[in-house]
Amino acid sequence: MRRWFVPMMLAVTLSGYDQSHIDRLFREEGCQGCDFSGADLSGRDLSAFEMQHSDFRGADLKKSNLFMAELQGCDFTGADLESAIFWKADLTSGNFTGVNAKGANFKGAKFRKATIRNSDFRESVSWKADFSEALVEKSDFGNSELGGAKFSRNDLTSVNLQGAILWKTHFRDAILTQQQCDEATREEAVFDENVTCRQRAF
Amino acid sequence: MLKTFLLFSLLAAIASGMQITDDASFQSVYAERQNEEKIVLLLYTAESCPQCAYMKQKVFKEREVKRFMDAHFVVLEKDVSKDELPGGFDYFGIPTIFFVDRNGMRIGTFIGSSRAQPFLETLQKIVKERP
Repeated sequence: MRRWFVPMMLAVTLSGYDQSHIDRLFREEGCQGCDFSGADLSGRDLSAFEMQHSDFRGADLKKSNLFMAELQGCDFTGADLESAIFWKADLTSGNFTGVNAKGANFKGAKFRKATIRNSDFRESVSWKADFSEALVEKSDFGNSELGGAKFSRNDLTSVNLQGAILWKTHFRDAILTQQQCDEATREEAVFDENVTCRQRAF
Repeated sequence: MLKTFLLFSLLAAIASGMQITDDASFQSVYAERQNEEKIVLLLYTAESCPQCAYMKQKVFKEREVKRFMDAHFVVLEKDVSKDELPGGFDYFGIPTIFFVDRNGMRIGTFIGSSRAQPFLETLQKIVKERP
């Protein structure tokens, strides 16, 4: 799985952020539609900051605190989110392509209509997160915690869910592989309606 | 000498700020003789917390975990939205588990949830390294 996101991270331009946007971010506790691409924001406290529609491509957000941050429509392509905290953050319609989110905490986060592609979410914690209508492709959620999370209108057949906690995870109008369905059943996931279990796509 | 010792003890207790000897439910644990050697597993939880429910309904009830917990721990549960919480035992999120010895001193903390096996290893480490 790692082979998917490493080239993506390398492909992203690592310097391009606007320093005036960084200054405004900390001065006003937010900056909407701003350019943080390639910025080093690791370990920073950005909790409850309003950063809608901002560009975080290739940014370093390792171990940052984005608790309840407003991040709708942001582009995180190639960003490093390892061990960052996104509790209850609003990530609606965000782009998470080629992201390293290993060990990150997305408890209660909203991923509605987000794109999660070629990304590493291993060992991440996403209890009660909402993935409704998110495009989730070729990403690794191995050994993650997805208990109580909500998947609605998703095709998860190219996603690795091996070892993931799926206790009380809700699936509705979702497509899974037969193996994922078997694991989800063992984990006491809830199949609300229209869940298709089929052979792996690749 | 005694005064110095008492003053030192008092200052140490204030500095640590993590004793819960004044908590009635904590006191009741050690009122029972069979709990003398046990460690209190103080669980901070809430009704709306599926992660807490997972720990209580799945992990704590797994056969090996249950056997080890029964032998070495007494569970005290506090609902963070309803119950009075002991001073000095601050938390960032739930579930948070504090391991507390009979003197009311915190000897370990576990935040979040996990599968049964790594949680069992945490419990074993707490017991092995208890003062």
